[in-house]
Amino acid sequence: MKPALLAAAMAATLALPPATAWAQTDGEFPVPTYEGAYQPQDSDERGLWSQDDESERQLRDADAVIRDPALNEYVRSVLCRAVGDKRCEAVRIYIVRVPIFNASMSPNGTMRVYSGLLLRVRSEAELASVLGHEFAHFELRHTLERYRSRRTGSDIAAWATVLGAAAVTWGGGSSYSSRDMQVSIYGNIMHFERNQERFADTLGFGYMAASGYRPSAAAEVWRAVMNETDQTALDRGRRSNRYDNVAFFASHPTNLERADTLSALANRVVAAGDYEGRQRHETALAPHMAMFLADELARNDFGGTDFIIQRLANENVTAPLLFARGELYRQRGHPRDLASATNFYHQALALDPSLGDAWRGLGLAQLRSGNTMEGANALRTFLERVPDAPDAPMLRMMIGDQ
Amino acid sequence: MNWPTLSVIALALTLTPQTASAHRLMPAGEAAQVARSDMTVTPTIQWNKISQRPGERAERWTLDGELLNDVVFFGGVEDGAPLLREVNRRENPLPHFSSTMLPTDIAPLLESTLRITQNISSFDVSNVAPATFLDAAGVQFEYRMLGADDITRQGRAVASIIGGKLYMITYDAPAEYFYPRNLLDVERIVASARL
Repeated sequence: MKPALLAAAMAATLALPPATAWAQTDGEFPVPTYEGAYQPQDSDERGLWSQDDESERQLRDADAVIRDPALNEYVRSVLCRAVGDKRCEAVRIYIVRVPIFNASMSPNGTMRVYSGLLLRVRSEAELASVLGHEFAHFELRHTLERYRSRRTGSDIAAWATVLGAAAVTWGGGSSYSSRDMQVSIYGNIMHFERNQERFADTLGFGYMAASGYRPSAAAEVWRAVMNETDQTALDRGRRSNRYDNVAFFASHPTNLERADTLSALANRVVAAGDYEGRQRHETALAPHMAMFLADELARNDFGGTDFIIQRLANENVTAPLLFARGELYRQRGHPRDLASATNFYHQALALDPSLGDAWRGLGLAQLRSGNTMEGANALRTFLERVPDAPDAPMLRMMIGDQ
Repeated sequence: MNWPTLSVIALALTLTPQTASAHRLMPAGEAAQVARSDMTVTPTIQWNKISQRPGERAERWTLDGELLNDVVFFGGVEDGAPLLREVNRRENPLPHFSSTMLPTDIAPLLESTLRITQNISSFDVSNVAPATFLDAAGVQFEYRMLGADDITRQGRAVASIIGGKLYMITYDAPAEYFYPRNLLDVERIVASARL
């Protein structure tokens, strides 16, 4: 139960509008004049901001934040292009190392972008659609609205938050102080209402239209995440027609029609741009792909991970992607998987002969398949290239070279 | 969150308050059978055994609490079984041990298990080397992980696959102060392990 709750806690701010509810006429995605620097107006809002400020102080110093200036600059530039420089000034972006699809924005202007989101989008336009949607919640001050409606509404929701948060403790469940830290890093539990999602999407499409990004990228992102969830379920031998376990669908049961609705909506954005920014996205992500993929592999989600890798590879097959796929199959370790893994490692090496780790994977896959000779040879090649690998002593022993 | 989930949480909070789990003192100098297996260890200082077993074939010892020093014994994890108790089998199942695993597969197995059960954010393995554990050829490695509480923990593990079952002892503690403080005590436990 804990991970589901944690997923809800860590996530939950991204969601889709209901499939119905849309009766826009063409070209009605207005972007209001931006109010500029904003200060909290009343005690409710000041309270939210002060909580947020404290959270942000902890987040700022957290080791889980990825600080690489180039990557941060890239994400910031996408947000700024999407929502415009003026709006962008209100935001501090923190890239958090969590291999889950999510981004969130809190009332004081703290934006959390998970590394799992960066791994799952293929272009600037796709990233912009998610960041823009989040920013729209911020601009519309939905967190405050939600807080007020929750406070004046039934106490049940409030208790759900308290109990949910209490259940999200570390490991054996004996730490409360760590929960505060966890909330600071991952963001607060926040579910938006359906009409809030609708407004956020209207404004989100407004940003997309004004920025020149291809609006239909939005629908592609949502659809891909739903497909990933389906693949996860399929691989685990169960049905999936709800997406409420996925971080950003946490507040809404949903279905595939939603992505289609978004798609249709995107077509109605007049004077839509077609800027994709695929190359720039790939270049910005390249130095981090190995780490993001390794984090993803440790999720033990064969179906979902394989889907992510293939979706990325459909656009551009790279050696790191083939290598990751090899690792994924080797990790599952059925005899047929080991054969597939061997194949992927070979393909990776064909694309990039300098990819030393592929020799390691190849060797280990062969060894586990019982092909001792080939395995030992591949591992020897690896050890020649990476003599001080973390597991070099163990590998030497395994192939009898110690 | 739906109502059944909520009520289970409420029930869990009511029935198992944090203070209710009684721990047992493991006296120094006495051989103790661990993890409901034939593995015995003889500590040289007093340890606390956490009464709630973290897994079917696992047992947890600590000095100051599991967040500060965490020793886990794995006593014969069988083929197809997870290392620790499932936290959410449906949505986030744990990886399973396989008796065909190579010594180098143990660290990724532990990584994936800890990432899912403790939501750790990073896990870096180093010094993977051959080791003799329980009179069998095994593997030892060190790891450094960043917890969801944003504390960096240092860890060490030693493992052997004996008769298709995994025997392992892991120790991790905050890298600052706690890990080095009791490393020697844990090394003595490991050295005393018998099957």
